Amino acid sequence: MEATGTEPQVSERVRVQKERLLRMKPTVCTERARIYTEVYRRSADQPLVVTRALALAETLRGMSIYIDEGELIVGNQASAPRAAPIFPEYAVGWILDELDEFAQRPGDAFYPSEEAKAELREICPWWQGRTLFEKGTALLPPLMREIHDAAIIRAEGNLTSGDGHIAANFPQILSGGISGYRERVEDYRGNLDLSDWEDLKKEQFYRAVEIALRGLSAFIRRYENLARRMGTTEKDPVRKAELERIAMNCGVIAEGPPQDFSQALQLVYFVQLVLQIESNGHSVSLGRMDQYLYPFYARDIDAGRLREEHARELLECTWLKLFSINKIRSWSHTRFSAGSPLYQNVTIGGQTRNREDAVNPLTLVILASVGTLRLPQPNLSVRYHSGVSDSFMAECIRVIQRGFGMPAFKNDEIVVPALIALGVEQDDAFDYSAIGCIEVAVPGKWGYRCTGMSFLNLMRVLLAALNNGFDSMSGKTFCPGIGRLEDFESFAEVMKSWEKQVKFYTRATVAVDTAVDTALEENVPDVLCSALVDDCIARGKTLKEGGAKYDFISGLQVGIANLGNALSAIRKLVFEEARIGKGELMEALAGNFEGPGGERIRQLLLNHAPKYGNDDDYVDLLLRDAYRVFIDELSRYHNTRYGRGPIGGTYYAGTSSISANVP
Amino acid sequence: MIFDIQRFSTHDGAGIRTIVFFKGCPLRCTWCENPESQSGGYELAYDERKCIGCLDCLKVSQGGEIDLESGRPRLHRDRVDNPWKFTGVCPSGALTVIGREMSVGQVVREIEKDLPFFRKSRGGVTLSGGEPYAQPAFLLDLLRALAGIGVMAAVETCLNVPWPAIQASLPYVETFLADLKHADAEKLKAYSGGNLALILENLSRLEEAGASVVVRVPLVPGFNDGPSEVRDIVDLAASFRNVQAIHFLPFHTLGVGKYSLIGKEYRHCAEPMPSFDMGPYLDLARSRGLEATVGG
Repeated sequence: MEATGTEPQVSERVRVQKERLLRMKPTVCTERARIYTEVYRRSADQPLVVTRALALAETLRGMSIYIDEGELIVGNQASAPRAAPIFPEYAVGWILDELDEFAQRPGDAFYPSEEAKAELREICPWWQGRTLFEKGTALLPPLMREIHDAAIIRAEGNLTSGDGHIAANFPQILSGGISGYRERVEDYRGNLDLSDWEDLKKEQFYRAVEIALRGLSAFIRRYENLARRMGTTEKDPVRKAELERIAMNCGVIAEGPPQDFSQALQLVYFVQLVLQIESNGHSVSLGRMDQYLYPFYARDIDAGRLREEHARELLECTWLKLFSINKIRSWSHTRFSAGSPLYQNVTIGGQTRNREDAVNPLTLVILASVGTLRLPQPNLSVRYHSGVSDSFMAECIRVIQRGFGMPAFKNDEIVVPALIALGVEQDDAFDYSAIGCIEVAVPGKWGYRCTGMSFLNLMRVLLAALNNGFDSMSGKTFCPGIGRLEDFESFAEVMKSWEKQVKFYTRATVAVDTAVDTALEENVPDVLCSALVDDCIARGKTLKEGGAKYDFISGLQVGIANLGNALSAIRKLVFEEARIGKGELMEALAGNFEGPGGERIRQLLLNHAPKYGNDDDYVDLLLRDAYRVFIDELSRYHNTRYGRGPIGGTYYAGTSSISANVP
Repeated sequence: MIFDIQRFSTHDGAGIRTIVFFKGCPLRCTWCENPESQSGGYELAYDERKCIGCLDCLKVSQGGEIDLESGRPRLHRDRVDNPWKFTGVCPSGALTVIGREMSVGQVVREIEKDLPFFRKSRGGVTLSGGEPYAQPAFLLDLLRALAGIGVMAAVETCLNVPWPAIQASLPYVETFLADLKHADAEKLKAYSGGNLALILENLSRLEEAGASVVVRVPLVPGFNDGPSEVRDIVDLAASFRNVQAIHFLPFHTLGVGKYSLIGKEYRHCAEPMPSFDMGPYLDLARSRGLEATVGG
């Protein structure tokens, strides 16, 4: 159904800004890279957390800021909208290699100026040997390095950028403001026993947090001053009033808690923004926005200070700002995440801690504003539950009809009990939100990346299982097998071989995670992000040191459905029907189906065995059994935060599939 | 004998529906969009473009149904007396067998998969074809089984079938989607082989029985798309008290490609229907007290 003329339209202000943003060619901004490099060079004597806090604070004080025409919510990530800042501390090799090709990419092209390129060529060499990528790669034990190089397990995304996949504790930020956090830190800092080694480490962390929080306040003050200055020269009285309002909002929230809806929204956006200046990990999410903003909204509406249309316009202005944030990835990473996705997820709906339907008037305004704006950011998720009202569902479906793939649905009936079973406290389980594209976690209380660090390619594992453990692509045997397909008398032996290989590679996955996690912990701790997630301040630890209240992660896998299809084809066509000989199949696989008869075998596999996901137990149960081996094995391991504070610190079964589609 | 089961259809009846296509039809409409539904037996479809030249089919062929012509398999339909033996033989799906003998239990199991959708959307099952009443015993068993699990069934029929088969099914059919292709007996006979007298007699008996009937009219250029022809059809439909609604189904040529795959020739004009205003037809039907829609 086409959107009709009766659909709500965005205001002229929002329409103009949206069109301007969509027309913009993404560029590359070197300001962050320049300031970080200077601070790192100058503060090499400082503890790393302090250096990183200084670099962040100095960037926030020194980077260009602007307020664009018509903006009601302010704050920029780089010197121009949709310009990607550079994060040299994570990796520089790919930047130098690909710099001249950014503009030639068939998709997700970036257009750096010649000056920017020249500056990056100057900045990057200093970082060589100092980046996360190099240190993390060096930290991989030799066997893991070989497996990683063979691309059976890949963790490149996490060696070239930060973790992301986290939400700050926005309810806390809104109730106490930035100064509330600073006071807490001062309290803890004052009570340290500096004769104790652990407390010495905490002292450094607290010092860093104070620096970062002051930097954040200063950043907001800069917008206050800019808006005030612009207001004094503004001729249009309406815009002048808007600029004065922006200045006042920034003045309040630079230190203290917000007093009304627009201030609350502006503070949420500033925090969301600065977390993406501190680190380039994507999927920094906003948690349950309709819940923590509602008290502000309701108070303003009741007092007659705010009209729904204005609230909607403010939200739309916020979405425009979220869309203006950008990230440049290496080409090898870009290929699998086309469309420059940032996965800034906003969650609405669901249930309250008392298990009542949590939908409120603001839920509907958020839904409508995302629906009318039709931008790829933010990602909107709706928590569905059995008590959700038909009218709310109908509104959600109307937004889906607009054809831009939102909102996504999360099912409370599945997620909440699963979280509780994992060990999450009941109140927290009812407070979960989407983090990133599809992951779920408790916002503001969970460590990074609940879906894990590295990708395991299940089809490569199966090929090794059929080939006595031999990986034909790398020419290596990482885990000796129990035979080749030709040696197996029954399909059960195929499964036995699978079991041995997948257990080995599951362990290898955790070993890769452990190395990458350690490299992230030791080289790129996020100070501000840690401060804003419970209970890092109480524990005096960064997230990677075990600061989060919860820290469960899962593995990531590639080719789950393909694994089911492959096992089903082997069982049916090789073992049950003997239509394909074992040797014949192995030969076809070795030659990528290119030899004589190869196409016939490929067609048989394709067309004559049940495929996963069609309600056919023959293959669905087969995949369940094969996958269960992986899940059971994974649950035996723990991550680097185990025993260091968080509830959990272990692995659980979680998976996600990503298909990137660009128009 | 079934030739297809299509899940999640939102046409051919209310709500979300599963459509069961029966194979075999007493009519031979020249414009038929499902030519593979006409014969009641197994049929071979051969799509040369998909052939990879593996010659697996040649190994199964013993009566000379398939031979080689410059290295490619050639199908001689006149020599095929058992198409079924080619089931699952062709790796790439170039040669396929159309038709599947299914038990009532098998069909019901397939239908049961969508029970929650039927309930939520007030949908159900539509038995279509081909002609469901060409397999009266199987149809009746299936309808009873569906009634047993509380699934409402609509039957799409050309009504060119003996009354007793319809009569037996009456308690289990929620709605009849009945074709009324023409009001002129001669023309109907010439283009489809149908018997208008039999169809009208069945409609009268459905009226007497108080059955719910929706009349469906395929609008076919060169056959029944003249204004007076449509008017006659609408008037005829409106003359039955139990006919509540009429669906106009615009002609299309999407099924033409299937003719050559099963060795048949498409004889109706191959031009898709020029887009024209259905408004007057809808108005006409509504003026006769019928609910009228395009498609449905």
